[in-house]
Amino acid sequence: MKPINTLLTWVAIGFFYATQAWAADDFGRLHFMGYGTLGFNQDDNRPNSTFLRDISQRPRDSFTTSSWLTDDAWLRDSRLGLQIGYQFTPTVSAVSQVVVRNQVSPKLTHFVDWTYLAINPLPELDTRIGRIGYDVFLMSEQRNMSYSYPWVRPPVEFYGWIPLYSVDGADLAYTLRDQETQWRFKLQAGHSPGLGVPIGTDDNFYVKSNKILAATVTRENGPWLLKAGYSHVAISREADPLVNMLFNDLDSVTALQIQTANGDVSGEAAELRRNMTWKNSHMNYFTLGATYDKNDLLAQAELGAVFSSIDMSMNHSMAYVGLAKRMDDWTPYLLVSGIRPHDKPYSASYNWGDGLPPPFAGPLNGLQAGAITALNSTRIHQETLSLGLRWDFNSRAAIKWQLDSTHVHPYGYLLRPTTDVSQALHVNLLSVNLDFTF
Amino acid sequence: MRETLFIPVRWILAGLLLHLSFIGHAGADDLVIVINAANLVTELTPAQISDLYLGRSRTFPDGSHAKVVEQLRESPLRQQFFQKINGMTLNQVNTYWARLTFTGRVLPPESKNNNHEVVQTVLSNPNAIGYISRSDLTPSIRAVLILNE
Repeated sequence: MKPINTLLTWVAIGFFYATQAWAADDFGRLHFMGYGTLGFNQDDNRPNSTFLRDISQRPRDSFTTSSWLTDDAWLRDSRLGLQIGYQFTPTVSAVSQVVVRNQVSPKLTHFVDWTYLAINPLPELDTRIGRIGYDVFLMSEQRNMSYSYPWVRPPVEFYGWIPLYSVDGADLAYTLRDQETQWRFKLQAGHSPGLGVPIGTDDNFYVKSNKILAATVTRENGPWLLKAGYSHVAISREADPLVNMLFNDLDSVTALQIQTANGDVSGEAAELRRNMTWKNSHMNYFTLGATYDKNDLLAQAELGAVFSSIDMSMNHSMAYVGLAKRMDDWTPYLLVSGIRPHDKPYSASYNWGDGLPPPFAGPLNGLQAGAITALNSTRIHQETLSLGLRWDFNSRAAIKWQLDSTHVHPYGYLLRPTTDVSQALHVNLLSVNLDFTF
Repeated sequence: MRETLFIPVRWILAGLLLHLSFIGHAGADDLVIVINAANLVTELTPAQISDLYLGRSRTFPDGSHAKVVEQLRESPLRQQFFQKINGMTLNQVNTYWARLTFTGRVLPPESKNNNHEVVQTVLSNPNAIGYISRSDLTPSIRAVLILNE
């Protein structure tokens, strides 16, 4: 059955059941709502690196010290979300949300975070069809919605590099009540509309997935919320054209069957090539999160691990712990987050060109160094300690101040493009956000 | 026919008795959670009401659809209601609902400008539930829980 037919079938079934529970009271309710953030941040190490909120952003002036008034320090955390919802019946609604934010992709469709039809055929059953929020982690669906959490932004070590905001597909959630405890089981399936990730100076890699599967279990009881999630993401697109030249050269070396006294050069080239091939690779995400929210105390922690079929992708573990104390309209907080790779940086055990005539040795050594640099460029190893304060000065708005102190390990740069990734870096970042809803 | 007539009459009488029973020991600023007189639900616990007002539940215990009616966002009554029903401050409730709304899980409940509008909505809709000041309680709607001052 074609996808469109499947969709229409689901819609028809949904409407059938929805009309069984029809009650005129909620019919025809149109909601128009929005949220936004005006954010500014500045770090103390501008010549060496620059801060990005997530991997979809590109610094306009990566390594210069331009005026803070003219650079994109205002753009990284700033965003505007507009949502329209329509309640057809008490059990059928449609929601669409557009988020205007700083990202490299100029494609209008990448600004549509979700547009879906929600059907609740039974009180305990929720289904959504269309473009839905990717929901695996605790804060997956609220990453842009800064007003809804104490901190300035979700911890970048955990959320900043996840290349998925939306899923084109469907999900199904079943809620089970056991006295005061509520269990929610959710399945999600579809493909990715893509997210533009900058590569090099001008190129973008549109990360696309032709298969996304996600399963989560959430348990709510009193102030406690626990969530466990698993997701399988298959990448369907290659990071061309920037890597094409590198791939072609590695393929040529593989085909030449070069063996030297030091080792199997062609075999190593083939292995590097395989570990850099995004297309048809896959990633598996595992996560476990907990929130405690009662009276004046909010605590949130999350553990995650990613296992990829290729080294060029992510093989990492990450975690964060946040603690916030509400004092009337003021909420001071502390946030600690970190990410580390499962493997050490890839390094050459020998130079491919050793023992070969100079006309071959030079290019081979250059190719080897380039391939290893590219392979190590996706490693992430850093920790951030954040201290902040939130002030709810209005029932629809809050101001936040946050100081981040980040330590980046060699070959572990996440969202701090720099000229030399082989060196460790310590950098502080001051952020101020005005969050609002309307 | 006699049976169908009997049920609303019974509930109206029960509501009246409940209403009268509050008078003896309830303060003028108490909050009352009210439903339509024809609603078959007899009582609701604070946890069940909290779940309805936090979007965790969409139905009454008998499975019928619940139309949640809210007071204005900045209303002192709303502040009192959440403080008493689950201990949440308005800041907490507002951020909670922002998350719920903008992740698309639940559309927010309809807000009314005052107690009178809440009463009118509950009167006209058999699935409605609202909260008002006790002093605005009328015999034509039924109280399912009183939150003491």
